[in-house]
Amino acid sequence: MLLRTPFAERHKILNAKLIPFSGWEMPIQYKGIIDEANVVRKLAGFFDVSHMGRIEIFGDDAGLYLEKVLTVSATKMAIASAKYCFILNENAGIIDDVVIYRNSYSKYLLICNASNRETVIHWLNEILAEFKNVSLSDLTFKTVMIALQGPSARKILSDYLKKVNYYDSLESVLNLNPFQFYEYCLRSENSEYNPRLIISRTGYTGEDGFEIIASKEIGLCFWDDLLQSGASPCGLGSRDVLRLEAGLRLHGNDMDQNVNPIQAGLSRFVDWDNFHFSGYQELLRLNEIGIDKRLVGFNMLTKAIPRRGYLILDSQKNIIGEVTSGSHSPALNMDIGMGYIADSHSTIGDDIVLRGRGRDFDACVVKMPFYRRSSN
Amino acid sequence: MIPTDCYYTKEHEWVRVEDATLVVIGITDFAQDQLGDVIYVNLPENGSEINQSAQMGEAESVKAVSDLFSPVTGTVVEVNGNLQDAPELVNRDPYGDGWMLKVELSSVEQLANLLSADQYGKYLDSGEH
Repeated sequence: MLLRTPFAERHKILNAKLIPFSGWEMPIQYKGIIDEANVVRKLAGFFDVSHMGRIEIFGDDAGLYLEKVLTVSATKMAIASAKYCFILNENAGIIDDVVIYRNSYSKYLLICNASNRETVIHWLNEILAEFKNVSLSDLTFKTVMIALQGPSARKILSDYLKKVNYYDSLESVLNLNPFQFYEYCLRSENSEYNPRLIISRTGYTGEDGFEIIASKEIGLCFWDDLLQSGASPCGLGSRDVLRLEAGLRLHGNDMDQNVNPIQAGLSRFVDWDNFHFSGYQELLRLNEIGIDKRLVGFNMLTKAIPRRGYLILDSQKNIIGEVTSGSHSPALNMDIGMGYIADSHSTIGDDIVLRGRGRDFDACVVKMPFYRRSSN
Repeated sequence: MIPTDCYYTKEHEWVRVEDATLVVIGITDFAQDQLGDVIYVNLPENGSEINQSAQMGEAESVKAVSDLFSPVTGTVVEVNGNLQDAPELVNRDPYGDGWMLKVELSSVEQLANLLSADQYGKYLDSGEH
């Protein structure tokens, strides 16, 4: 039995094509993957990402506890800021890539991949045994999450906040820097119930935008308003295209427990001052001795879409790696992909060959991201 | 919904007889919907021989690459060149502008191996595809 987000009825009404995804029934597309990717680059799109795990961590030692879990120094984070980081196993393998929000001195919110939610909760609970005054609460089913992304996202959000009379917060929300968030202290008429609303300047598309974590009631109203706003509902298909164009890795494809952040090219999201987390010693050792393979991006030189699992060969046709993600890029009108290749071969500009479906395709190692939005 | 002037295959191709032994072939609306946005269509060249039920090309969508199977045996006499620059025609108008090949049939008898619109509709409804 697949889990459904509170938007399930709305997806049906919008004629979404639904697929099973990490135990959830999610829309892969509404009108079409390419149209949806284009609308996010040119205007704005919104995604139901309520399937992502949202786990609250609170208590006096919450920060110290999280420094044992995450690759960042949670205690040094500014309140109302968020950070992208990792949960690593003892071998520095990536259990999950997450975003950690600091809500207050002693309260944090962890956003993890839907596919890893149970693994992450299990891992969190194991480390929790050492901490007496830290608690966890899984908010995944009590809240919803919407990503509003694109050059018009700011304007659309601003219009919405005005419409619902959130004038007090308007300036604060619109002035958020990337990876900052605003949390509302809402009061409901029913005193037992405090509706929740967090607006963060984050996303997974390479565009400017916001992610909204809210109670179901607020989330559903926001969704209905977005439908009237000129933004388009977008599915997981376009989200995957957009994140790949932006060079963003997908856990389960481009990284997993068998690769570490250095191999994934993401060591900048490891805070070396925090030496408490599992995998730290191993990561330090790998940083010294170097790594055997590295994630690289490539452009296809022939018209073919690289597919996960295609082999990567050097120009002498020696196998040097494997494709982990690939897609057509509508923004660049080109076919792009990522894959791990032997470190000695991972120089930008190198010609490589992809082998799949019994054919060889020419490609070239390039710098990521493939797409970078123009600053305005 | 399913044009009645075509023959069909269980691999979701259609065949429309233009003139005696000249047919046009393409993929059905169901096929294009399953594929999603088509990015590339790789088809045999003009003059090539194609064989009923054998692989004749590929359609690549964002989601996947799928083999195209020839619904007929014959000689390719025209390839829809518009699909090079506008593969989305396959999504937009699968039975019209999204046509793929014109083929001179080796024999007309082979059309008897194909499904009628009615049979294809029932096949889709049966959920066996």
